[in-house]
Amino acid sequence: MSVSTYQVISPGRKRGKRAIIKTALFILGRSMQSASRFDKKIQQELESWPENFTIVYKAFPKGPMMTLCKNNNKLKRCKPGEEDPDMIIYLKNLEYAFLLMTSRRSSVEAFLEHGAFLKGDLSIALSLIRILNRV
Amino acid sequence: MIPSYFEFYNPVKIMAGKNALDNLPFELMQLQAKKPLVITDQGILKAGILKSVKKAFSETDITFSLFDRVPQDSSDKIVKELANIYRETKSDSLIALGGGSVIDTAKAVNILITHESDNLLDFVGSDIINLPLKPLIIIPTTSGTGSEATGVAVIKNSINNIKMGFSSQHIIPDVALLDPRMTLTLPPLLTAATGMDALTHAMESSYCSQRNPVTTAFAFSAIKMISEHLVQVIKQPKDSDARFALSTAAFLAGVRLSNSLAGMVHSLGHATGGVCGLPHGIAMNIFLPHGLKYNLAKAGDLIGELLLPLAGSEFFTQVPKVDRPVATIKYIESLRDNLYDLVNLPRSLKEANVPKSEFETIAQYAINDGSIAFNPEEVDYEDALHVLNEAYN
Repeated sequence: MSVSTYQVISPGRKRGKRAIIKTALFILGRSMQSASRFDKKIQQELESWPENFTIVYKAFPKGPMMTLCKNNNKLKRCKPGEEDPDMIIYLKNLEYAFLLMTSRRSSVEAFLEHGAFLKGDLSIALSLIRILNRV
Repeated sequence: MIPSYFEFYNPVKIMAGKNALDNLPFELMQLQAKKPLVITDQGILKAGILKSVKKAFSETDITFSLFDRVPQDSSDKIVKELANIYRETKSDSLIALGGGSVIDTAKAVNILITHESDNLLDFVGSDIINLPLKPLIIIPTTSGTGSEATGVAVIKNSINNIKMGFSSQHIIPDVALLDPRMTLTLPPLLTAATGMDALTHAMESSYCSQRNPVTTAFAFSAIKMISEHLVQVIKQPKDSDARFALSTAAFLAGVRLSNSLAGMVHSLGHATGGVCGLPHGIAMNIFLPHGLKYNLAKAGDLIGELLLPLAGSEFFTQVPKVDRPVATIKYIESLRDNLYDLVNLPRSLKEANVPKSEFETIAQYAINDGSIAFNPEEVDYEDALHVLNEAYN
């Protein structure tokens, strides 16, 4: 019988950072929802979005996520895990999501540093960045 | 100045120089392909460029299929048609012979055939393609877009006419064959416009937010070569050495662009192209000095450094550091005047017949263009409108 010379290492967990990101995403979603009711500039941005447009904002690959939809020219938080969203913005890893959610990186920097990637229409992503900058 | 984080990726094998095209069969063999689908357009066919490609396959056992009807502004419809042809002909690789539209079409076809899909819309976005694509060889016939070196493709949505962007490291071609014979017949006006496109790629991404030391090295070489050879090629179109220098410069600028994206000059150019059909190279020629001026406050030092590859060391050392940013802009303006005198390359939106009535739409499109995020100075709707008015006369 041979003596095993290797180990199988399972991925660890970052429960603290995960909880902070989840909380920050919750606050961000609520803030965006509220701001879209009152802020004229945000409402102007939303006019160009298709009605019921859905965006998922998520830390890759299995991190916390937030889902937003456009309803009556306002943003609304939807149930997480919305099926088949119109756009998904992935933050490349949990550490980068942590930097972003603790305001140590901006949304623009996330794209500059390849910290985020996108499935969907880039012009709406830019509009979303302008909204995020106002919130 | 080194950014806190940057990435660089360019796996393209370059085969550059006299008779580079003759290596095509060998390169296909290296990629384990022997039944390519050649994608080109009618302009290439009429210029007789295809003959050289056919000759390159002589005395081999390679048969290829040919599609020669890629329009100037390619759409998802053409891409889907080509994907069907690829499957029908049981091809195993793609060769793009042409300029930006042909190359981007081939990249998009590659996405569809690799994923065995018919819906290009599923792949719109950045970095969402995560598997290697089929072998793709590019033979550029212009010296401008640099698309042979980039991981980006832009294709028109045939339903709403909006340009869709695809960006992924997997889209980057395997091989780029830069053969001076391919650009010898490029008309002078097109040579000037595509040359200014390449110069803008190199210059703009040198002072925009995603620049990094690796790409700056590529950009400086590209700027130097374009500055030294563009006017010469227009005066002597059959000068194959100068043509080769321009092709190489366009490739270098493409590598640069793929790794550190451009800024507002490109955004305004894409928007004016989308709204009024203004050719991209002409738009770059018009907007470049305005983009430089707009960013002087935030990126003046970087703009000043570009004077060295543009004007040469003797001129550069005679200009005090503080005056170099403005001297760079003046150098570009004088190059544009020179090109206007030689081939009537428009220097203003007025000369290019872009109506002022479209400015509001163009400004709106420009602030939603991907490149705008990489401009050093923030650009909002009013700013874009202001620059458009400045560029009118």
